[in-house]
Amino acid sequence: MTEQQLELLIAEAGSLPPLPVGTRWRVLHAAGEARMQQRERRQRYRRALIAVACAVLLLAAGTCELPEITSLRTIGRRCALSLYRPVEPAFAVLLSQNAGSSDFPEGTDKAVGEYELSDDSLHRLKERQQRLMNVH
Amino acid sequence: MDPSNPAFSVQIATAARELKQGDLAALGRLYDLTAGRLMRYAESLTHQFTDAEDALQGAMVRIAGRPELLAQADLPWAYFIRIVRNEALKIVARRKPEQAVDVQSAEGWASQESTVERIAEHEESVASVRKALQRLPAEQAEVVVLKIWEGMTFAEIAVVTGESANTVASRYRYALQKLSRSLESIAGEVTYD
Repeated sequence: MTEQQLELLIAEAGSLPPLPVGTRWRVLHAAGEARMQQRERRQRYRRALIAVACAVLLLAAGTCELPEITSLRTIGRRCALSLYRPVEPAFAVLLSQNAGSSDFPEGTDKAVGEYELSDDSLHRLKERQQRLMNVH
Repeated sequence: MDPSNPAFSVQIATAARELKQGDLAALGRLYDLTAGRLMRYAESLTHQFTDAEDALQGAMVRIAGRPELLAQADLPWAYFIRIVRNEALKIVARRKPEQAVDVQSAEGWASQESTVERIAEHEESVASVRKALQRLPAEQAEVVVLKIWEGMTFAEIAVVTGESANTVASRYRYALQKLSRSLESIAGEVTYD
């Protein structure tokens, strides 16, 4: 038997049998559940990032204390990035409260930076920040 | 679709990208595109349908967790197969010695009645080839499966197995030599165009 004949013989034995329907359901159910859990984790994490970025922004401006900022949901990308790194350790507690983890995974600063804010939103944020500063 | 067709990998990467963007139905498309081939490959490593199923499920769960890795892979199909391989090898490693697959037993890949039923045509030669493949060392059998059934090049198989292309090619040659001896008896019964 030549190598070519042998390869042909093996190739003929490689027909793909149909998989049981149950296999499809089982595999997709498990994978779908994993995807949903991953999505929920990311959403929780993103909410935490927003809170952290807010905190960075406002605390650095000296306008509020930690307990006040956990409910804020606005982020100033351009401001937050420059303020994030120096104060990062102080906000582990915020992550702990919001995402169940006190760790700042690698790439957190990048994720914060990627959170887009429109010019209009940034303008409103600056106005609010200004008002807060005036109050204090 | 034949995996050697570049469009096959493009479809895998596209489904992974769609999954990353939140389209859960992309999981089904990815499964329909790849499951049969992945199961066949996983069975060549585990020799048991249920273990192959577990390996496929483990791989799909991993893909679901981080679809971007599959979407960005240089060789999406090779990357996917590698994930299945890792899952299958983990399952094999977890087996207790008494659970080791006996190639002669009825539990085996080639001789398992339910598996044979799933083969479209119950030809004796098909079962013989599969049985001969099963008798090969796993590292040789998987190279044959990936080369002949998946149409991968030695370079692509090297990506999957983490070995050099030369090592992969040597394993392939050794495997063919052994298979040639094992299958000599049925060669005369097969007609070639």
